[in-house]
Amino acid sequence: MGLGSYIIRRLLQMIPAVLGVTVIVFLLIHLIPGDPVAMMLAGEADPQAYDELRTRLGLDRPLLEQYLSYMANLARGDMGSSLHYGLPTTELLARAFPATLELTFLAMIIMVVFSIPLGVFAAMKRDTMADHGSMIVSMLMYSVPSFWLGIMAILFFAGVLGWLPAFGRASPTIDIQLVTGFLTIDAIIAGNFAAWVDAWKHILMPAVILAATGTAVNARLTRASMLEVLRQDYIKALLSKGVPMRTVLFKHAVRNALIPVVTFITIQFGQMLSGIVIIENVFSWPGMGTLVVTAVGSRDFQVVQSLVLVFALMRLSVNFLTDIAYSFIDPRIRYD
Amino acid sequence: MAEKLIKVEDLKTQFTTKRGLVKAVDGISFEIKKGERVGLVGESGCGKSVTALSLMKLVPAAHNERVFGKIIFKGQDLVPMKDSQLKEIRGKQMSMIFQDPMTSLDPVFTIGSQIMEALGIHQGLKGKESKKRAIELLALVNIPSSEMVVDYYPHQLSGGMRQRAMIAMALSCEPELLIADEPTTALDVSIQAQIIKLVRELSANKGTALLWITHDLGIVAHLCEKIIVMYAGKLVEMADTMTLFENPMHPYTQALLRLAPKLERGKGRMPPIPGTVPNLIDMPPGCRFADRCPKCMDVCSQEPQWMEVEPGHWVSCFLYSKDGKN
Ligand SMILES: Nc1ncnc2c1ncn2[C@@H]1O[C@H](COP(=O)(O)OP(=O)(O)OP(=O)(O)O)[C@@H](O)[C@H]1O
Ligand SMILES: [Mg+2]
Repeated sequence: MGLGSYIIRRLLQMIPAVLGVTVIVFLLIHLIPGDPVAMMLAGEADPQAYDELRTRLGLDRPLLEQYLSYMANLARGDMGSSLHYGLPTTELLARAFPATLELTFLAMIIMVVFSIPLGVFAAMKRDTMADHGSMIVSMLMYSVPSFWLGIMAILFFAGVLGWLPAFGRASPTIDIQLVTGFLTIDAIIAGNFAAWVDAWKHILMPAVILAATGTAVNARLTRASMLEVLRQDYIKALLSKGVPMRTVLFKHAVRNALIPVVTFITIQFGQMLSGIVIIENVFSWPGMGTLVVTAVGSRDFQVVQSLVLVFALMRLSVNFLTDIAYSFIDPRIRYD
Repeated sequence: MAEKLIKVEDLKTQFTTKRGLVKAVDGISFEIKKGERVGLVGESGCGKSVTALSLMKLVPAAHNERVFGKIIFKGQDLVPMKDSQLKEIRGKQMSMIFQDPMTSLDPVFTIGSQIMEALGIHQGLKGKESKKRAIELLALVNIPSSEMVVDYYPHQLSGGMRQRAMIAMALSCEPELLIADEPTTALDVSIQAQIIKLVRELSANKGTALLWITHDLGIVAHLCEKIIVMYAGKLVEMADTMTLFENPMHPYTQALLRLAPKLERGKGRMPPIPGTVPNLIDMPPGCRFADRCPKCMDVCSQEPQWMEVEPGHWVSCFLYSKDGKN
């Protein structure tokens, strides 16, 4: 089977998962204990307002009809609106989503770029000081909660040294045209060097902290995976053919060791999506993590609903991308 | 034929482990002549694989090993050699096939690219030329539609086919010594016979010497000219096949042969001998077979000598030494 048809098959397989997610997200509002409408109005005893909101949310109609109209709205790009901000949810998302995505992307890149070489290096230097040293550091990183790391980083780099800003995505003076929503890219498009530096200064600390736990875990897992591969017969078989050690390590062993690592990375991404709620709040990063906390606090259920949907879809997309990545690394996947 | 190819002298391979020093191979000496087919038999865990890996200098992959003694291959001692020198020997002059064909091919590269890798290293073949040679080699080991199989990944082939591919790879540069570590144990009986026949023919055609490691006396009886019997890290007896079957001297060999008729009925596994193989950690001095030996004597608590009791017939047992009885 070719790669193209494999991708199509995986996309088709995603449809039920996406539908399942929408059902769960839709039911969210019904699963809230008590009367959601009353909670949203928070004590305003005006019966007219109550009925109005209930009708607007469609809660007076049969469940199936509600779901179908929810889906129809979604298809039109209508996710309802925020009572708290008095804005359509999509508008809030349009601001928060790129902010979260940019931060997560960068954190993922940091994690992959640092953890894999570190794990491979530790495996190759097995049982030396360098191996033990790097594994102890990663154990420490893993054990320390990321919000504490975040606060310490702010105190040190923003407070003591004053090198990096403590919060936000950009300084108030920066004004650039948004194209991708990623400030580090939009600054380049705008040709604004100051804005570019500013964006990097803001994103660096939260991204590193967000990546920290995952990097630590992933480095350890990469090391273990690499050691496992190095024990395999085919490594001996390759050496017995006269293939030089360097080639055996970097061409054969690393590629095989990466197969399970790809799964670890997906799992780490899932962890990051929960981590981001904390990190965004620590750094006042104007993304979905901050938004979800505000929305829960102000009982803005439609916004919460939409955010959960977006988080779930992000997760699904990453699983999909992982499977595609797999089929590149491991030929056994495409043919089973 | 009489020229010697490899001479192993007092080879010792030891592993440092948490539980103690494992003397997996403990002072073995033998030689293989050019084109000679030699069988190495012994019970599970007696150090056969470690011997094979030591000859290829592949044990260092384990990080915790030490190798002593001499491995003189074509006049050069392999023991002190560095990887850079060894890669001229491995695959080119001496190669190896492994027990489990399911795990001895890299799963993420095609069969062809794995054969071509060796061709590139040792013969400088590249591109189309190299692929053509890989296809020829696969055909040589009787793989049908080898032009297609060359682009297959290991998981697309059966165990027997993979083992053929391994053989093609091992023989690609026409080595002078092929070490086969139980290459048929993982395969079913009819495939076993085909593989043995194939290796036998190929080795006869090219004059490749063979060290065939197995549990199975039946296989070596048919395939090999000389048999070495190993027990708990040491050699106990070595003789040409006829002599060993007609006049086994060591009580261990005798026990193996007494139980050998069971081979015909069973699946060809080594039949059980009462007692168990001793632990290779902190081995007490003396003959290692002593506590299972029906002919054990007082003197057996000392180390028996490895000596040639008649021309070409070596044994390590006090029954045959001058100071022993009988
Ligand atoms: N890397 C290692 N570290 C420690 N001990 C080892 C190592 N490799 C092998 N051994 C030990 O050396 C001994 C001999 O093992 P070996 O694999 O050579 O046996 P074998 O004769 O090939 O057995 P089998 O017939 O089951 O393949 C065993 O006791 C094994 O546990
Ligand atoms: Mg073995």
